[in-house]
Amino acid sequence: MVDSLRIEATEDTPEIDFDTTTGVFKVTGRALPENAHEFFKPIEEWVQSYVESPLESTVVEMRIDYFNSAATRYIFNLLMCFEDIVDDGGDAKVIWYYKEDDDMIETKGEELASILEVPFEMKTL
Amino acid sequence: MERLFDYYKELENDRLSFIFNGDVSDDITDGIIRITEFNVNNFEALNKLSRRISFIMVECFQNVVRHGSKNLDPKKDKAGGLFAARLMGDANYVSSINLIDIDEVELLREKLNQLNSIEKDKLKALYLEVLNNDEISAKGGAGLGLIQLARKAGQPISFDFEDLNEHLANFYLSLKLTGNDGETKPGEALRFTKNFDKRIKESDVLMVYKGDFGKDSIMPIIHIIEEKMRAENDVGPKGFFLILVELLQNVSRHNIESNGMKDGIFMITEDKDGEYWTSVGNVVNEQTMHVLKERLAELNEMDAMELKKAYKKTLREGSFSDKGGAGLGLIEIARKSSDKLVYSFDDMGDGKFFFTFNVKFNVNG
Repeated sequence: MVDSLRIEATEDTPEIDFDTTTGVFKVTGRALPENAHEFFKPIEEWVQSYVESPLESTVVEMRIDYFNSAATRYIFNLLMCFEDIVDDGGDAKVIWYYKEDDDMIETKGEELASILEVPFEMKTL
Repeated sequence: MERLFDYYKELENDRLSFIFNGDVSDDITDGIIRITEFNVNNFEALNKLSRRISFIMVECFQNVVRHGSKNLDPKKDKAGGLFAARLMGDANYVSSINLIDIDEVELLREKLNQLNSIEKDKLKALYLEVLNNDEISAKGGAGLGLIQLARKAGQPISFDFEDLNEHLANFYLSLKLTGNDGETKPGEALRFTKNFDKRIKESDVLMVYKGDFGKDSIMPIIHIIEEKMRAENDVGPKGFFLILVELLQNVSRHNIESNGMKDGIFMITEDKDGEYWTSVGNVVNEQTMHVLKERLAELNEMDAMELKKAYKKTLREGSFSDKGGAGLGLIEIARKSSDKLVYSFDDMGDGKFFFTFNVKFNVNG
């Protein structure tokens, strides 16, 4: 089992809290990095090694306020990695949190849900 | 709408120009400091002045906040204050304009005349005297800001007042700093400020920024605009904010970098109520121009459904750029814009082109 992954939030990147003792993976805050590759690539690599031997159940909790187009793309890629768990008969799902009056984050979630093949739940905060 | 290219030509040799029109709050002071520090610290001609300039900008800026009249009708008087800074190396201007209550005029005039007549080395004694005085101004200042301004500037402070009606007056404050500590002509900085103010207000420009567009400069700008938008609208218009982020980062990605600086210009103009034009401009090479022209023309042909489709397709299949982008930025801008994209290229010679990109956004949806 890989060690948990924790990255503190900055003003343009979200907090990452991927806890491998509970299987709850949280992404919280704003994702506006100019160079999204730099921030997300190591996280994606971490997730790729995690999905090779995942916990019995994995829940990805997304609480994003803002994100730019580059981050959207990398978040999509990141979430796609979890499809592997489902393909192998395991249990993984994404919960997309949005504030009730925040159409933008809600729409973004719906868009991602429509092209991802991992169980995807929408919840209001 | 004024053409962005005209502003650019005028400000082309500025290391940093920052003009902020309207009432401002203390919340954005931090952003101002950060923009200044980055632009100043990476420019040799300004290194010697760097600490002084940051300090003067902040004092000047807070002066707009502190002395601003509290008796304003936010709708009618919203174009009251102005903060402007132009740093060119040899000549640097920092100015503020704000509406004050008319009964403050005489006291301020007296204070400023006194400061301008005091010899430089006596200013410190005055500073200490005021510091130990219990009579602190209800406005949160103790006159200390102005004394410090006079000390750091090493130049007379240019100022003027202009009565607007029986309650309000415009308070102009200007400083010119030179790289070689030479004396400046009285009134010079003031004339500069007044001319600029007139032009900015007539064309409904809310903000102009000319300078570096690297990450360290963009985030403070975004922060400032976010605060301003939040102050003026009950709900932060997220769509507008995101267009800004995409536009500014786009300038950074498609840029001819020189001396470690990604130069560009950015302006927000108010069209009519609730409608804003965001314009960014920068110099690109011929190849980039052709790529952008083709891409933008394609996007303008698409309707909302087609844009959505293109967005999803890129999300799934597009290639990643080596600059950390994902090819989604322009599609995202086109989707959030309330009108077709408006853009132009001006030939600057030597295979260089000035790319102007205007996006209209309606905050009322």
